[in-house]
Amino acid sequence: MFTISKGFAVISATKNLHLPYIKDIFASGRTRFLEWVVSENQNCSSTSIRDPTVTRATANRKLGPHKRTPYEDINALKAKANAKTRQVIAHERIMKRLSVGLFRMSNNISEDDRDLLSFAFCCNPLDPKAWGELLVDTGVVAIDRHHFGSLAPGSPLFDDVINVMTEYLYDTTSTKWFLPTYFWSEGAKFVRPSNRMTSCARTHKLCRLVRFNGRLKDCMQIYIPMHNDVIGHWYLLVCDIFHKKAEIWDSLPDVHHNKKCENDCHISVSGEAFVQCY
Amino acid sequence: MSRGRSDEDTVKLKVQYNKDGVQTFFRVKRSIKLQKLMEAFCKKRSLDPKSMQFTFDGVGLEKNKTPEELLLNFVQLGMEDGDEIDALELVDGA
Repeated sequence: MFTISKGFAVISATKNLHLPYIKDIFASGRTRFLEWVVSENQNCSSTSIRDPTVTRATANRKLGPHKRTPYEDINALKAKANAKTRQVIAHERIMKRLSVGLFRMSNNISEDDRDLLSFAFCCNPLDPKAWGELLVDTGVVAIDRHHFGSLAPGSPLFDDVINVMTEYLYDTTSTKWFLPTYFWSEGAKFVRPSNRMTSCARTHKLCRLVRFNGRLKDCMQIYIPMHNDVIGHWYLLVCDIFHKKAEIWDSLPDVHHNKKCENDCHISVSGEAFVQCY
Repeated sequence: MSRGRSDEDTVKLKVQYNKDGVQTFFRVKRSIKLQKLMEAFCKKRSLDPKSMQFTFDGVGLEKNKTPEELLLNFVQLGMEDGDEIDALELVDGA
């Protein structure tokens, strides 16, 4: 009893305690006294000049998953999930549009390629402006979306797509000549002997053969796109000038139409148009 | 006082259809879009405008341009008034 009162007297001297507190402490006993000392020490530390030491226990730490409320960012989470779902749906829709029959587009293509394909081949079919939009323009031939769509599998190919390709392949230094489809259409026509010169001039003008500048000596191969108008099929006539032979490259050879193809090629190549143009 | 159109305002163009070689003559205002000429030709020959392509010297003509704008190109290409436009039918195949 004495020791406690002695210790108490020391504390009271330093903290300027009042008498009623002391009476209370003695009345409640030792446990209550210790609690009081701890609370007094905490109050003292909050008013002290020194900064509180930041420890692991007192630091503001990020809440763990078990302490975090599930209602915190529910809207943001919903928006994120919706955006992802929308993206997946859009991707699947494009892929579905690009698939033909049993054949499906591979998922390995990049997003840029996918967007490019969807821009070129998928548009609103009821919008006439979208179909008339020019996608390729070489300055000589231009292709709108409607004709560009003929490159899709399963649809017949328009001749201006082939003409654009021949324009791209044209090179002044190349030994290979790629002629447009007009050469076939003009060469296949029946021309009276008296009109041959006019027909030749017309073919020369239409196919813009001036650009080759009559360099037949430097030419090795001439590629002429041909068309079978009976079955509606494109094939290629390759005239090898160097080896003096001609080949027909056909992706869909048909026994019944082989003779017709050969005849058409003979007419186009042996016609006056071919000979006199150079 | 003459009410006839002056030659300076108009341009004479000749359109030749590649299938039969028949030529059709047009006299159009320089400020009119070529699309109108193309549509008039297709209507006259009962053709589908979507399946036709019009070229001059092998160069495709744009529908939105006028003969006035084209004449500028004609000067560059060395073409004169009264020259020929080719009407080509588009072909498709597998």
